[in-house]
Amino acid sequence: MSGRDEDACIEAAKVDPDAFGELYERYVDRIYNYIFHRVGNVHDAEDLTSRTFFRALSHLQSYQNQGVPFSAWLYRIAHNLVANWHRDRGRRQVVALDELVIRSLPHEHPEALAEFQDKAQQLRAAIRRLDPTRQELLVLKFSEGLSNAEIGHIMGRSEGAIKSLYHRTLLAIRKDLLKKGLDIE
Amino acid sequence: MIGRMKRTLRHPFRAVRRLREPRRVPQGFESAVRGVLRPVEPSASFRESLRGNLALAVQRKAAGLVIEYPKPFREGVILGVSTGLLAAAIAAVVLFFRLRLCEAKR
Repeated sequence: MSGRDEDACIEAAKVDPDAFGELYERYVDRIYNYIFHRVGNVHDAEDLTSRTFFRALSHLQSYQNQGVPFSAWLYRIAHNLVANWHRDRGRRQVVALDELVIRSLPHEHPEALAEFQDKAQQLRAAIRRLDPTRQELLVLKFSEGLSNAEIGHIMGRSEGAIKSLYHRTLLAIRKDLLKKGLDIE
Repeated sequence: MIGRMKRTLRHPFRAVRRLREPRRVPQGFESAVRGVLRPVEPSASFRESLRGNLALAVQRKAAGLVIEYPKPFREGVILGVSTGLLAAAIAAVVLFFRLRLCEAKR
């Protein structure tokens, strides 16, 4: 769907709510993925994804394309819900990706597997220690595959600021891991 | 005086330490971070279920009704049990007073 098609779809969804289904199909995977990496478990990811789309549906009339893509608007809703979720529960983020890491490794070398898992575990712990803004940036960058400009739209910062923050974030994680004696090259 | 000298001496060391800190991120490190944040997908059943719920909400919206997010199962159970307990408590109080009233009449 091109930007113009998307605009037409959004406008159609404002007057004909059935058109909302197309928007849902387009974004449900991305929003779920984003939320999952921010909350770390399937149950809450599903609940918050549902809430995001319900809120989007009820506030669709207020959306106006003023240079901010629809995806950024949706991510903003998801971001606010995740922030409330963290505030309500007073929890830190848990990035539960063990299964994914195991699947990506050769199983014939158990020692290498154990070492890799250990490194991955420490890396995840270091990501969890970051402030929420930096965690959000990493999820949007790596998990969502968004460009710095797109991330800037979502996070309300300039492209340059995102680039700089991204670099500083990676350095901060590396420094944190080096302090703990782990060097990932 | 000595304290000030110590502070002056300490700052250049800090500056040197900062210069020694790595400013470049190795390529492999970036890949490792990407590796632990790999994309995930929702289950097909969840996707279908949400699509169905949204379709219902769309119908409600088209009918001019207010859209409400369906309460999660756990909240529904808690609400149901609380309402039941409250109703039982009220019934017990009413029954108690009615019995006492009957006894008094006798």
